[in-house]
Amino acid sequence: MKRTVSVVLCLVFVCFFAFAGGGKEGSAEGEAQYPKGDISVLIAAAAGGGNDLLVRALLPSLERTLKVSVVPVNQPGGRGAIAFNEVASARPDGQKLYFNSKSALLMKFNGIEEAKMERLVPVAQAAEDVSIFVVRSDSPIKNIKDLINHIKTSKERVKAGNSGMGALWHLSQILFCQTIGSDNILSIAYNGSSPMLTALVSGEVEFVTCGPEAKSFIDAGKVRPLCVVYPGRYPSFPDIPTLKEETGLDYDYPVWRGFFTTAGTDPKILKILSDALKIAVESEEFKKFTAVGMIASFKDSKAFAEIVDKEQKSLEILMPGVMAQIKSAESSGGKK
Amino acid sequence: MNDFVFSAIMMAVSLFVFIASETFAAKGNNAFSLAYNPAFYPRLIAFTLFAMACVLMFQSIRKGALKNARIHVDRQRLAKVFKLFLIVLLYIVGINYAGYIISSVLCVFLSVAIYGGSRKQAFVYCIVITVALYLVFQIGFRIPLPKGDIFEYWR
Amino acid sequence: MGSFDLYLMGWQLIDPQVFLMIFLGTLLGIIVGALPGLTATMAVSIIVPLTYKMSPVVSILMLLGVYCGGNYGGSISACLINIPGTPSAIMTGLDGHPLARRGKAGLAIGMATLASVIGGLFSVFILSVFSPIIANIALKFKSLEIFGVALFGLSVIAYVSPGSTLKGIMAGFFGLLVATIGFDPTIGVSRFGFGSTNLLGGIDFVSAMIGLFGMSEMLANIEKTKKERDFGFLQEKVTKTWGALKYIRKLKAVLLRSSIVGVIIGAIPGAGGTIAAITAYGLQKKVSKYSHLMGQGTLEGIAAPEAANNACTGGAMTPLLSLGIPGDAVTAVLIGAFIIHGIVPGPMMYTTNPDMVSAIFIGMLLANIIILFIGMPGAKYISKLLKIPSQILNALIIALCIIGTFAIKNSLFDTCVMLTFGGIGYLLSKAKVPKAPIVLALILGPMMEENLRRWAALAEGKYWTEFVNAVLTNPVTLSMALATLAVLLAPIIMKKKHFSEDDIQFTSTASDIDPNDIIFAEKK
Repeated sequence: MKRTVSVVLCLVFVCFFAFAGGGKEGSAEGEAQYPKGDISVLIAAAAGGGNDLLVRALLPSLERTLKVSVVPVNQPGGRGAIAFNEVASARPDGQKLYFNSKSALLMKFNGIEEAKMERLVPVAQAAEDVSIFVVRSDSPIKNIKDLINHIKTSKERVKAGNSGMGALWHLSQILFCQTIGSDNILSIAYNGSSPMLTALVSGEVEFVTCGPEAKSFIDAGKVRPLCVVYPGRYPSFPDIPTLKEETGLDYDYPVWRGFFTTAGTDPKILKILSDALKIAVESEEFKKFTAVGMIASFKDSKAFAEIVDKEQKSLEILMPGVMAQIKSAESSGGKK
Repeated sequence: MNDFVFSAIMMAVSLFVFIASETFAAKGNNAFSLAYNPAFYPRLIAFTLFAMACVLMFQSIRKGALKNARIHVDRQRLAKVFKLFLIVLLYIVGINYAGYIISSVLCVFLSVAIYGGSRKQAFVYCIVITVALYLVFQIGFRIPLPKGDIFEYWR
Repeated sequence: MGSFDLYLMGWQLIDPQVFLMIFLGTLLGIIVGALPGLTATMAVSIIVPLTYKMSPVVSILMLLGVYCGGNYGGSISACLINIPGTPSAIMTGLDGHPLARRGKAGLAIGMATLASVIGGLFSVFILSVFSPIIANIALKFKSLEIFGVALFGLSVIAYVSPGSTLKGIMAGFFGLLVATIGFDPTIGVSRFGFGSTNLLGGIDFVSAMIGLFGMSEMLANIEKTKKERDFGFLQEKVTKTWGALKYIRKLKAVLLRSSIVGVIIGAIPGAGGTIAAITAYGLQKKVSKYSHLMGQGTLEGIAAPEAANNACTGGAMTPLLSLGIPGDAVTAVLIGAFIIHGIVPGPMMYTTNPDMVSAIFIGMLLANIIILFIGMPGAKYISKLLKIPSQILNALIIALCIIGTFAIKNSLFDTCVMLTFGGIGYLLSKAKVPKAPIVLALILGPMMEENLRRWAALAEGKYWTEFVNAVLTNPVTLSMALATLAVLLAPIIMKKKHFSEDDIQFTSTASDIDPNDIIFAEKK
């Protein structure tokens, strides 16, 4: 009997808190000092991956500048949708940041409708990425021109790998096909770059498009890079020719990685964050990190916002066609 | 009898899968495509599960499940299990609102009590365990524990 | 196999801090193993999120320490109070406890310790020699073969789960269905999302595991009366553990045989320490000259199961490292640990993270040696822990389950998953349905579906021809197909009763033997 009473009391206790704590309304904070306590950065990727390591490399400097703890939180769920949601529906006080690459823009087109970029505001860009085309080291395809020829002339669809249907590098692959004028490929989705590259090595697919994460495979001699898609030679991979050099064709595919926060945050807070990030991007720790593939490239809130906006507009035009193409490839059951 | 219930539940689950997968099933050309119909594989699994559940149900009926249809329910013990489940559930729900510290103290206190500990034991250990975990997670591993919305509200 | 680099590289990663963590992990494992009601699987599940913030090397090695220690720790309570601390120590108590009752607790524990260490070291040796070879072969695996491996893994668990096979398979299928929640692997459409972004991410299997093994145990525990929960404490003095050393030479055949059994069973996905111990004990009983004495306090009755259950560790790590498939429930949890740290276990590890692989070999070696130095002198202190009141212990575990799950992805949704699976696990144990198939299905299921459908997409509709082609041209595919077929048809062909932990008859352990009787080894 006594125990029942305590249970009931506790129930009441908790319910009281539950009701009292309801409703998270909060207008943009006033001139209150920023930052107010720990900042958390929600990373839309698993620990140990490219995005994650990048953020962690920036943390020491950020903490020094802002004088608070900056805590990284990995939230890879739902392809970044969960982290997105959490930041987008948080209070616009700059305490929660969202970090992702250009993939963030693609979420909306992949069926995650609430991932509208208007719910977030760009803070700053931190790094840049590049698409690389690779084949197996013992493949008969020696350079990108061979690949293009192969695609154009092969009777069967050329088997290609991507690290996620409709995701970052797949899009690059599709643009590539549009640029060379032939879509004679069968692109198969893998759950990330690592299994994709493994499948490439085993011979299951003939070529793949991925980012700088291929570096370890390239260095181990298991794969051969054919080209990068970049205005000039990519600093981390100076030996790989660009698509333009080899063929004269090119397409624009900048891949950025940056920070966002909740829409409606006070521009003053954005400026503080942006400045802190600038210092962080130039810090020692970050320089060490970028030695492994990505390159540091800072853009402040205004510049970043412009880039994001521009890309969003071009994606709005591009994506419906792309998604339709993917769907038609599927509905033909893979048969030509 | 337990087998009967289990197989019935599995059948229900299979049916649920069939119905719920309508929203993402591919139609027309791709309806029977293993590769391009997202619903094909789950339905295949559900179908097999349903078949196995039928077999199990048949077996259990043969062993006389329907004849001696007594379900052993020891009210006392079940009530305790239910209470514990409820405690944890409320803890999870309440932790966002009341914050880690208050919720944990409550939860551990109740847990110790429900397992048969004395009031004093429960009181002492709820503080000890809450503080210990706080140290390990918040400080040691720098994993932010929920601070509690009501406190932010008052600020 | 190549150069010795693979074995030496790891040393660079092992600094005093790492060593300390391995030590702590092993110690923790032994303690948790010694406490009845806490299994090694549970311990590893709960500790995985705790190691989250550490570096990959530290956390994996620490978990391996817990793993090795846990498999050993159960023998302590099995010998002293006749309750196995972990299921894998079930057989150890059959001979360990009677021996302890005769005043030779130290000898029993000493033997258990030595056997565990020897079994463990043997398996690390096998792991380090064979896994690179297997890994090399595994690199040639394409989607069809990987699918075959996953299917093979899933089909085996159904046969080795306790209780009815049908229920085991059904549990596995249920797990497969749960695994489909989230994004479709081939197309990227959301399945069973019901509009919730949380569900879109799928069901995190570590949370499900903690719920299924940890939380459900806690829910079941509360049904027992307080008396049943608190463990009696054998007032035997645990001394002179090193005395067991002199019997090792005579038992070398036993140890070798049991270790081999342990390694093989460990390597089979789904079969773990418990099955290994039972098999080894059973085997020993068949071949021993003194089989009539087993169950009454023989040293071989202790040595066989303990060597086997620790040999299982290296055995289970072999498919994990070389194929990315768990060899038993604990290695299944370890996959989660690897992934949390951004490492994908599998053949590519030998190329991309060879230093990690090497560190794992060395770490396991160290863990086993540490067991020796903790177990021998320390067993008597550990046995004192059996006195913690269960109400406090259980409350602590509950708190750990919740906060630990939360800490993985800072997600309360995960804790809800954990609680849900805790409830499911509780109900399943009431219905006598094995839980392990669910977890294994959650891990192997996505792998199976992904690869099957990817192969189907690549085959462009010509399924039969592609399959026949692969089987005929690729020796790997052929062997995979045959192995899976064998597993699926085995029970029909051999008409042999499958392994079932329920089937073990516990012979009476406290037989009244004249204290003047000498145990078999001393007779020689």
